[in-house]
Amino acid sequence: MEFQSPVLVITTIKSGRAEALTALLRELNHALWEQDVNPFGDFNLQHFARWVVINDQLIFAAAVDGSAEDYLQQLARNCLELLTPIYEHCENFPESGSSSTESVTNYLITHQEQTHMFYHGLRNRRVADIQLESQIHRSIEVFLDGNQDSNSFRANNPTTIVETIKAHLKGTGIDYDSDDPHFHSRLPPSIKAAAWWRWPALIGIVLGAVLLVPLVAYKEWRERREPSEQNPFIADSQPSELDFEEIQAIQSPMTSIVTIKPGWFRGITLRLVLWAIQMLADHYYNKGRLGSIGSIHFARWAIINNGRHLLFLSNYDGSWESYLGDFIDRAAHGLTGVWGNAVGFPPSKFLLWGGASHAADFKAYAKRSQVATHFWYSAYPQLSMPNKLNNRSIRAFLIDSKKSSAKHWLRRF
Amino acid sequence: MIDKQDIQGFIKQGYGYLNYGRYLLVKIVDAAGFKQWLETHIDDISTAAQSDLKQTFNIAFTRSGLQRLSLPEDSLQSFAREWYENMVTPERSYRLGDTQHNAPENWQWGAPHQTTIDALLFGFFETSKGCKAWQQTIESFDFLEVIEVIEPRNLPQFKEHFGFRDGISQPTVKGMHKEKEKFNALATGEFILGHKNEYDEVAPCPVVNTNLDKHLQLKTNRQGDSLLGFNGSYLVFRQLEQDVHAFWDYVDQQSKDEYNKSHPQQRLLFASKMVGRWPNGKMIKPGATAQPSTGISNGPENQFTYENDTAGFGCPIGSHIRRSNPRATLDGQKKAKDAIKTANRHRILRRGRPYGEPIVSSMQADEILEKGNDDAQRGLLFLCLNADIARQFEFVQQTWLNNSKFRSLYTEVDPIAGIKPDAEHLLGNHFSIQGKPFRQRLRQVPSFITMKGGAYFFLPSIRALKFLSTLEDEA
Repeated sequence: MEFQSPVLVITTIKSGRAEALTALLRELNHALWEQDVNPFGDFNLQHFARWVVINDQLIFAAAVDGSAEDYLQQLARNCLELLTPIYEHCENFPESGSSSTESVTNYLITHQEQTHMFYHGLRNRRVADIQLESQIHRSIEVFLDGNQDSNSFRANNPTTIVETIKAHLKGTGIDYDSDDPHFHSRLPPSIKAAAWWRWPALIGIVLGAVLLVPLVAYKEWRERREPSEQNPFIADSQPSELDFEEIQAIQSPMTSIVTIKPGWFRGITLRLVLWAIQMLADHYYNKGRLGSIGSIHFARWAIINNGRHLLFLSNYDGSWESYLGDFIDRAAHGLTGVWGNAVGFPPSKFLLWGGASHAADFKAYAKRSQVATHFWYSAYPQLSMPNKLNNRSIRAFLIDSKKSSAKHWLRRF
Repeated sequence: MIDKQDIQGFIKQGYGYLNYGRYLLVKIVDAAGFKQWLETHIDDISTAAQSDLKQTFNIAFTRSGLQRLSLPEDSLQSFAREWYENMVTPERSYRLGDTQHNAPENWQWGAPHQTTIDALLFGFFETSKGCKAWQQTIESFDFLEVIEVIEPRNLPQFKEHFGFRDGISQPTVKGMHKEKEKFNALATGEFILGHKNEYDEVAPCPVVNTNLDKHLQLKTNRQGDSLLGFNGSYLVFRQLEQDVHAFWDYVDQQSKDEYNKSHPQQRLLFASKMVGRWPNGKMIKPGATAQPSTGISNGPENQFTYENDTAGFGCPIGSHIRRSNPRATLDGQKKAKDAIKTANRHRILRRGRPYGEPIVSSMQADEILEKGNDDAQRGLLFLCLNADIARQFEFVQQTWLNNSKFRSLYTEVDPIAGIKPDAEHLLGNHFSIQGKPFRQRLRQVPSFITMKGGAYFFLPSIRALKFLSTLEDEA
């Protein structure tokens, strides 16, 4: 069973209804962020979720606990009153009156699309775990605030301080130390850890590379013959609307869509590169960082609309400037490998060079490719990725004090 | 090699040795008259080729200023979006933290409801008399209207009003300055437009149709446009009022013991931890509780990269100077060198000076607290230069100072310069002092700084000024 999955549902909006649907989503978004009205209610299997209207399509994307099918079923069961007014604007949605949990579930499942690359920053934590760990952290911070000025308290040795903290937690009734059977076991084996994995993976990578060489040579040849086109997918959203999304205090969404260069060659290259990045993300970068970028909660690429468009969705910490700066400083090759197959991307050389490392051009390209995220939800908007990782380590020590020393653990606050 | 004669001298230095100065914010009322004056006074403009000047003069423009000089719209749009829109769009206010008590509606100048500022004329002088005479000359011109006169004031020992030595850490610009610390030497294009930057690229530079450059003042690019921005820079100006009494009163309250007695040494330590240095500019060593003395050869320090203080036991992770330039403070990178490289893509050349009388001449906490709040206006005229406002100045403000999740932190913004959230929204107004066996956290740090006015300016090259002064008026 999958522990976390990407959900992607794309439906066609009835003609003339896109504007009304956009308005509805904006309204829900406003209620969520300005009035604290959570449209999912108590249903909390999604870490992040968004609805985006792009031309005549409605995109629903979420990073969820469990499998995508289970999630959609539960969503239909728990949030029918949220889904119905949204999807009534879409083609083929069960007629009002006849829409049941079952028919809505089927509708969502049949409109699912594949996600080609999915990155999750913290793999072995469910929404409920992350929220519990945040609660533990905050409770300890408050306890330390109350004792920090007492010289006699500070004079205790670290182990005694930890015992006092545990006694405090016990008093609050927070379930801080019951062992979670999934706590340590959910990471897929890293290549280092699982020796049997190493050889097939390496052989795969080498084979992939060998296959890539003629492809790249062909691409360089093609490139010279391709007219340099502009990306026709220029965002129609007002720049200021996007700007406001990007200054959400702590986390921000990014929704980007670009046109893939035509021809079978681009389709194959893009799928190969996405597959390679997925391998790296699953087996190397599975401890909270993608390369050295530690600010991404979830991100994905999906090839949609019969291979014509490439969708990029991300939930990241901090400002757009810092996110894009990280891309350029730390992930330029990977991004060039992917987006180099799209129309209008800054010129790349040999698949992985150039492109995203042209800082100013790349930022301008990214900005142009972005569309407004009309509705965006986060299950824990107050937490950064480093916060989530730190909170997990705090709890890991409470479950099993062999994981760290009391002295070092106290530095986590 | 860069042509220092073509570059305004303020990029090279802040002329701190000249004690008197004026910043005049002006509106151009007669463009033809202004241009005529500018054309005949180009040689008075201080350049980077000059040194030991006894008086200086520099000039910078907002978009409305260049519009008044008849620079066409397509050229204006080739400038940085931040400059084009200026500092007060709703979105930018939010991004910079210019909200609540810092909101433009409370500003003294630069807000949308106030007179539009076209240009900044500024000079520094050896004598007060020379300074006043210069101001009077400018005020006597009928082609411009002086909207705001701002008077900087040097404080003893290069201090700012809270009593801390300021202006210690500065990047050096390759081709312009002698390199001091290796990690602080940055590519020319980080500060001067048209040159290679830290990405080893020449970033987009403002241009103008070559047909308008009748006297062929400007360099052209391969597309045949004239490079109006070449050898220029963007100048950020923010007037930040400081509530000196509130600052010391807060740290005094925090350092009181259970019998409500003040502890001057603890108070000074808390204040220094918030700043990140001791008042005399020395760094705070892990475990130190008192300010080390300075000798002649032993002044403020700038060689450190925090590699010896990764946990923040000396200089706290969230302190003002560590946020303003995190140096080698890791952020996902494995090597200090990589962290410095990333940090160096967001540096600014600071050109700030204080304004207003110090609250007490000694600037000692005891006397400040005794004197009480005097309601006088004083603070910092924050000026800085950069080539990419979004990637440099705005990044520092948004991603480093005002980010409650800076590095591994949870709920705190810059304790000195950060914009603290509303009281009811208690996220971001604490301050953690990392230590053993565990941190101390100062809670509900109030705002000690209020934004009073600001704008983004373009500081043209000498050739660009010649071009602008001979630009034909619109028919």
